[in-house]
Amino acid sequence: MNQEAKRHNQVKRIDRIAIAVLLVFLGVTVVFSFYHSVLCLLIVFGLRFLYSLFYARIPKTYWALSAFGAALAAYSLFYESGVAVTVFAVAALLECLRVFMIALLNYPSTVRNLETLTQELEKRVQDRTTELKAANSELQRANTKLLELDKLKSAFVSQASHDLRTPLTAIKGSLDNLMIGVAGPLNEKQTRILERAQRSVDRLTFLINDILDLNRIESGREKLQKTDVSLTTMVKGLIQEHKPAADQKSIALDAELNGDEVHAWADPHKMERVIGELIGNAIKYTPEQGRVTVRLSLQDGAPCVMVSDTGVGMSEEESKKIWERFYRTANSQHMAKGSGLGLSIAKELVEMHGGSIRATSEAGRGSTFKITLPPSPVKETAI
Amino acid sequence: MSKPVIAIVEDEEELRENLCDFLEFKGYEVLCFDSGDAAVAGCGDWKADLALLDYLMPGLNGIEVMKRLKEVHPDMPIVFLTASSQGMVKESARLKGAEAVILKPYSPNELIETIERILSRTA
Ligand SMILES: Nc1ncnc2c1ncn2[C@@H]1O[C@H](COP(=O)(O)OP(=O)(O)OP(=O)(O)O)[C@@H](O)[C@H]1O
Ligand SMILES: [Mg+2]
Repeated sequence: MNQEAKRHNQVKRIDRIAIAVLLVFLGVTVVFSFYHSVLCLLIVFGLRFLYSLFYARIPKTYWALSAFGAALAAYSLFYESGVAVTVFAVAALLECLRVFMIALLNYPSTVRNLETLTQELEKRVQDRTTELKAANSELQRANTKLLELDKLKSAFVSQASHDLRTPLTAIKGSLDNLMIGVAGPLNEKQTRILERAQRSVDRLTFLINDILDLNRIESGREKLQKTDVSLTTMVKGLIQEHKPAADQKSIALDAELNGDEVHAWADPHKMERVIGELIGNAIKYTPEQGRVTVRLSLQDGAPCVMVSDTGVGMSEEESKKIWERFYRTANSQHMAKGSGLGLSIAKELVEMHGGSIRATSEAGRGSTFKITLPPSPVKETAI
Repeated sequence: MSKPVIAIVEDEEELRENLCDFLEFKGYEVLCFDSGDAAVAGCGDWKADLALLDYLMPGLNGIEVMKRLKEVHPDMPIVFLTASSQGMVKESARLKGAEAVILKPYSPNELIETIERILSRTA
């Protein structure tokens, strides 16, 4: 490619020199033998024009002919001979004929070549189009199938959960009745046994509720009911709620709410659930004597909630996976029970609000979860 | 003062009996029906201070039962028990005149608090 360009440039340069020489020659000859010289030059330039019609690049014969024409013109200049010019004109004519003949001979095959080329191209385009069409309809079919399957899955999950709830309610009701003494007072051991069963029933209930919730969020049936929410009040309430669990493990649970009240434009129940999940997790995955801190702030108008703990933490790899449903880190599994759905739901809910949730952590040192919500649109009325 | 009467309409036997035991233990008089049709059939013959209805039942469902009961006892408060957590159920039931919707599995406290709240208001 590069060499070709170089050659092309060279040809151009020679071409320019040739024209310059011819022009000078013309200037000189105009004075002596105007008629013959101009004829020579016309032939030379005419040839050039002809060549440019048929060839992409000027062939060597042109240069040879030009040189020949220039020589004859010079000859006729000094000897005033019309014969020389005639010889040159005949030679030029013959060359013209040759160029024409070649072009004429080449024409059908060129056309044929072009035609087959066009046909081939068209065929290829057609082939690709049919291929694409097939692939497209295949994709569409797969997509509708997936959508159907997804709907089926959603329906199945909600039906199954519903059917699980009924017997679960019966078990729970029976246990509750025994516990409150419908069948008479219980001794300590009986109470302990029943409490164990109750805890398991509660876990199962939470699990079913979580699966149902996630199912509803995924299928887009969950809607937000946004109002102006005071995150400060919410966090205070949540701290109160989680105090007993923290006290049980001698964990210091505090809030740093320094400064003004922080408001958000959000669904209060859903945000309460999200922040509650983070606080609950922090307490669950922090050993005794640890510390859990909730911080509220406004960052460029965006309300932020940070929940930090001094717990088991996790590796960077693990911190990417915790948002997947049912995922639990190896270290956390023998610290507390859980189903691994809490953070999946939290992430979905925060993202429904247009916010983001992130985890930073160091294994063995603790974790920080940070929620950022979009700036509240009703700043003035929020106060 | 006589005991408040609570009607229970629930097709699941286990749930019905548990509810019955629980409410009797809590000092209520209980009327049990195992289907919407049974509750509606003789509803002129009984009267309750509150009715607990299952939302989804074979035959007449909770909403229809409520409609029929309200025709005869317009002042009787209705509370739904439902195993489907869809907010839709909650909304549509409340819009149509139910006092409350309780999600199964319910806690005994939640149930008693709801009942007492409603009864103290209507008494
Ligand atoms: N504060 C934390 N410190 C360390 N690990 C955490 C923390 N929060 C979450 N994790 C890890 O992320 C996993 C997923 O959390 P997630 O809340 O989704 O589930 P879970 O708490 O195990 O169960 P549940 O569904 O009952 O909430 C946890 O099992 C734990 O391994
Ligand atoms: Mg959790």
